[in-house]
Amino acid sequence: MSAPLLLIGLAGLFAWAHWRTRRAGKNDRWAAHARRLAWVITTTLAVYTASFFLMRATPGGPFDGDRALAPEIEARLRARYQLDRPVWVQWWNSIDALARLDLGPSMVLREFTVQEILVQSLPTSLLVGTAAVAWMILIGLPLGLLAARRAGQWPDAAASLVAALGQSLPTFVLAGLLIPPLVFGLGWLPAAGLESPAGLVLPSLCLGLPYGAQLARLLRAGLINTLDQDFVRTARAKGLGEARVISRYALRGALVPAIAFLGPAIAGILTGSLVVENLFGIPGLGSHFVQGALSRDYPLALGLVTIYTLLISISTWICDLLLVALDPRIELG
Amino acid sequence: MEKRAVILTSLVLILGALLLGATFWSTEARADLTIANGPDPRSLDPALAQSTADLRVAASLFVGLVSPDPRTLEPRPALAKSWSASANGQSWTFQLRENLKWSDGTPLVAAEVVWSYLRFLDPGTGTRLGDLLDCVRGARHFRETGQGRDRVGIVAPDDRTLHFQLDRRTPYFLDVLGQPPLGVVPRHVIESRGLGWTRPEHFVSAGPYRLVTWRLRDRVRVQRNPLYFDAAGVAFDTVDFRAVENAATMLNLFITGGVDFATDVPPGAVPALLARYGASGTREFLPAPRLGTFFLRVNCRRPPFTNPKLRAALSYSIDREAIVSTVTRAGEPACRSFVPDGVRAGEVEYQSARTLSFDPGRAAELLSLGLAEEGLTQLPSFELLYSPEPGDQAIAELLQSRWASLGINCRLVGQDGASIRDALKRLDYTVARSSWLGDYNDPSTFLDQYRTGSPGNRTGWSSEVYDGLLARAASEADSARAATLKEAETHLLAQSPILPIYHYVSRNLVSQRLAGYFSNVMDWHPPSSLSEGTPR
Repeated sequence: MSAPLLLIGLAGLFAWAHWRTRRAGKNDRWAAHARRLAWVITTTLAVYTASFFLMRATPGGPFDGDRALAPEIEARLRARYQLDRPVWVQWWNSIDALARLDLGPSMVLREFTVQEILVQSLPTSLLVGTAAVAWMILIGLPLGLLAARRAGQWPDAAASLVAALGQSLPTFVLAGLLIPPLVFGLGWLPAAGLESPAGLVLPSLCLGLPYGAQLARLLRAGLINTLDQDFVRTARAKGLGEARVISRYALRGALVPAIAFLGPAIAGILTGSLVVENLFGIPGLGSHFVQGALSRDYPLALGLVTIYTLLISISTWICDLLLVALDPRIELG
Repeated sequence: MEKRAVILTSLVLILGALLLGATFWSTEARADLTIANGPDPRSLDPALAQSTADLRVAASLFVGLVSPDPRTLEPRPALAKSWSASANGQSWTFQLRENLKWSDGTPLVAAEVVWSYLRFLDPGTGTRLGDLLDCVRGARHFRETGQGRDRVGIVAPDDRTLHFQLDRRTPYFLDVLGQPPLGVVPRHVIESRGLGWTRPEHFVSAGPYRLVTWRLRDRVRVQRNPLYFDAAGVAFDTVDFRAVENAATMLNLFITGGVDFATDVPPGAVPALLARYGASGTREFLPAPRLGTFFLRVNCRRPPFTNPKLRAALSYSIDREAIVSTVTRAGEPACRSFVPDGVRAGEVEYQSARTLSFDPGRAAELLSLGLAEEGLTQLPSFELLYSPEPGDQAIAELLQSRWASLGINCRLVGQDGASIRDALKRLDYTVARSSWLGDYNDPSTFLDQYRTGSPGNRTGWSSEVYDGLLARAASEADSARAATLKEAETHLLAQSPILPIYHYVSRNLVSQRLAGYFSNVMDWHPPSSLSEGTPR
């Protein structure tokens, strides 16, 4: 029985954080981390449970097909995957398995366990995601800086226009604009697939550009805000060059809203996007996420919900730590 | 300090990306033949195959006793060298080829073929197509109850002889045996490996190809099986079945030469494709009729559609020509029957009922008669379930507007496939989109579905007349049987539990460099019979 152990451990973590805060004071770092970890686990369990019951409440099941299964066969399949037990028993058993880090067998791709599917698809999503993050920074950072430096002038308007377009164009439109010249016209890039590094360019660009545009807007706003502040004026008064003022002083403060946005953004990018994967034939997580839900593959869909929740929680956590490092006024809590 | 951290982090990121990339880009060279196969196969186990994408892969890895000729669909010898049937057509004997071997070198004997069929029927296997073998004595009882395995009429008197005992004369028996789900599977591997037997590291088969890799959402790669009985006749050494779900992506890949064979095209591109790649162009896109029908199911248990006149009124008010000419546009034949043209019924060609037509006058007349019988003045508004794909939605909208002109009001409800199937299964719908692809080349693969109690029925419709006609046909010789089946189909269409709309066509894009591709109603193009050829 792993689930009770997990719950006891979780309660212990909360209790320890509480005890530590009382002993070491409100600003104790270890207490804050322990509490955060406990909340990450609690959130994941809560999201898992909500998704579990939502999925079971949705009509249809993993064994429905265009062709009906004979009742005898369906009964055997349901028994094999324990779907014949009461729902709360199934839920408890799956939480128990989750506590052992066992996400169970896929009910639709029956030759695979959910772990095996993750092992196949997560690296692909990470690869495309890393490239997309690179695009996001390559596009967002210069665009945001340019717009803030020339606020109110034409470069600002141009950069803002590009950012607004990048943010509002749906991925499939973006792909539709990029594919004809780059794939058919110049023939530089393959139409789909990840068979060569060139195959990475379009999907990661389509995935990263909207986030880059968002980053540029946040950076512009943050930078305009900080460039007005006293400590920047002091730095300028000391005779520092504009490049140094921005990189050393202003950017630090301007990054705060951008970093707060990066947490969920990176989780979103790394887990892939159904549209991008579908358009470019990328074997990543995103299509499994959607297909898992559509085909009522309960363990697959729930496993991916869990991974997604964990990724969001952890990347937000890391970003929070970065925020504390950037801005001493922010406290871990 | 900060700078160093930034540089270090970037280095780690770049290295990580390169390492990740290396795992992809060190992969094997391009296959000799690349097929954009549609969605991932759900299973490589032929008994569990269900979609056309699954079946295409299964057909290249496995082989049965016979195999349909890619040009004529006539059953050709495969594992069996020859066969004979008794005079009453109920007893069949097959002689296997000599020296048959599995891809791991183990000899393949008749007892394993028997085991393979019994496994197919075993309810523990979980096949959806078990009814393919219902003509075999005791097969249906075994697959429905799990009892009586040793009473199924399939035996192997010696290592090279196989004997089937059928319940009734079955003119399409050889067609059934040639279907990919009845490919013979290796007992010695399945019993030791369980569900994991289809993994590349364990995989053993007797078909033209053996499995090399299976990466989900990416590809299934197969390689020529040197121990296949006709290995010399297999032209391409390696074949990739790429998992490409999006039809536009398939088209892009085909145009840029990324694939040699695409199995679907985007509906919106059909007219342009016909002009450029059709009969007057490169002849790489030649849609051809296939054995499948798009239709609507009507729930015959839900008032007022318990009344056949009201169902027929819906049918007469469907402008099928408008649907095929404005929505599907690849030359799909508008339905005049449920069974498509060009179907064999044993030795004769089946002449389908051809009673469907677009007749608003007749529809209005049937509507008022039906309403009067039900004591209604107007048909209550009902829901039409469709799946929110572009083509499906356009058809639903056309139907809605056509029916509205007769005073029939329906609400369109878009639902995902799983929800629609669930509604059909529980008979919790009024009218819903449906489709059927024939399993083998005979009208019974269509008509048997609407027999009382058939799991494929899903309309709540039940007719003693219909059941009686099908039972009578089962004992008749070919031409009398075809006539009786036609009578049954006529009755089915008059009663209108289903409203056929159009018949499917194949939508393959096939590179000019491929020889051995022939249009046929089963859309059957096994990669093992394709070869490098002069442009068509």
